[in-house]
Amino acid sequence: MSDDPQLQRWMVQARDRMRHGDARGAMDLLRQVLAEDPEHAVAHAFLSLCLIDLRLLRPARAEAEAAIVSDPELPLAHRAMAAVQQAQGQLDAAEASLRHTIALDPDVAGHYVRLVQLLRLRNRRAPDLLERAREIDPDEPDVLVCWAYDSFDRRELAEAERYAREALEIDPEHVDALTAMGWIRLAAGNVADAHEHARMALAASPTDDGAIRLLAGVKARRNPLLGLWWRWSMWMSSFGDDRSIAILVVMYVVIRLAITMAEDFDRSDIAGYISTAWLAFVVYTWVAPGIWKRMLARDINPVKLRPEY
Amino acid sequence: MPTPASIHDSGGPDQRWVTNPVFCLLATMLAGTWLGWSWFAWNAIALGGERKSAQLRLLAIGVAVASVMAIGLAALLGHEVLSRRAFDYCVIALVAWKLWISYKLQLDQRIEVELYAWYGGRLRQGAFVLVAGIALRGSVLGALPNGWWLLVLS
Repeated sequence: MSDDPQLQRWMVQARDRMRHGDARGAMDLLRQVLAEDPEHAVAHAFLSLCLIDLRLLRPARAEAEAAIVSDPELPLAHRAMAAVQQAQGQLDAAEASLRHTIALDPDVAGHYVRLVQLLRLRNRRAPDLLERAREIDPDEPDVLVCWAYDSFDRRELAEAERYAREALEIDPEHVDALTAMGWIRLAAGNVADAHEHARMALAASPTDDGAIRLLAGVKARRNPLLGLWWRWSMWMSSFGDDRSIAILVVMYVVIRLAITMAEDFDRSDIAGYISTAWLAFVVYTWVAPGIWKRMLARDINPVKLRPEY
Repeated sequence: MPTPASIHDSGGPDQRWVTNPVFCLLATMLAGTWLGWSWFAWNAIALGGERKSAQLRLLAIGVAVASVMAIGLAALLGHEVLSRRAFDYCVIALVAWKLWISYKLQLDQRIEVELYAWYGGRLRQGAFVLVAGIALRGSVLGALPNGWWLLVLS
């Protein structure tokens, strides 16, 4: 890797632009760096992360691969590859890449945070990783937010709120902490407070996907058509995947038994009502998430900043 | 100033036939496993993710267990061990099994499909196939000879 001061300046500027969400601006600088030094592994890795932001996954993978080829021991290269794999739905491969990143660089709390977030996508808890992240950096808001979500997923809302509050005491404008607090308040039924946290998170970062999702959640909870589905889905998600499947199957068995018994007793009218109610429930739980996703897309799409912003 | 390294997106995702798995689930419930489970398999192959083999294996287990249950129930009915009334109640267990497999597959495919859609992948609209499947349910199942397989495919 080059020690050219000009390249180092470009790298600092690129990192700065990435931090401010200007992926395209950062890419211009990173491409200049790579024109001068095509084997600059950090530039390849940063470029990969920018490309993921722009949802260009194939070139992002090519850049992550180039970063690994240039420097196989660079943790950032494997972290970029993990981000690409996650974006492409290869969650097992992404997990392996993040574990490799941790093996190369075991004292960075951020790597553990990424892995915990990845495992959460598949409803897997990782208390040992969370513990290790806290040992490394107990005052890092990202770590505290992970702890908050871990408690939230177990519906230990008081504990989740304590972690989120700790994170906000350290950084009152931490977008993920504000969003986490919003979800916790929403789950506790305090919709106005959840709305206020979504508003604060969006004031801090108007394009943050998590904050926009929270705002859409608040809107769904307040919407007369979606409110019931929202409460239902929040309640079901508290059980985790396997138990929620069991609940749905048991519900179906009870309904089918009721219909069969009604038919046995020559009450086809009652059987008809039950069948219709079940069908209405199935259709509602199918239509409501679709409406919510459209609402979310409407909220996300208008927020597009000019590239030079 | 040197020319910057160029970047090309080589055409975007090629998973052209991916559908939201909720359509496969609804197809299983409203049209039958002949459509729903075939669609789940198609979706798993179209997604081409690392869970493809696991999902196809789960489908194979689903079909195998449902077939054993259907053969058993049909035999018990045929030998008059079960009355028609008792048979109707026992069939609910078979339907519950098929539903359990379908929910498992839907949840398994959902995260991959959501990530795929989030990063710019286009999902195929499944409503037309679903409606066509519901409309054709009677014709498809009616075209098959009577037997235990109807219990599996319905």
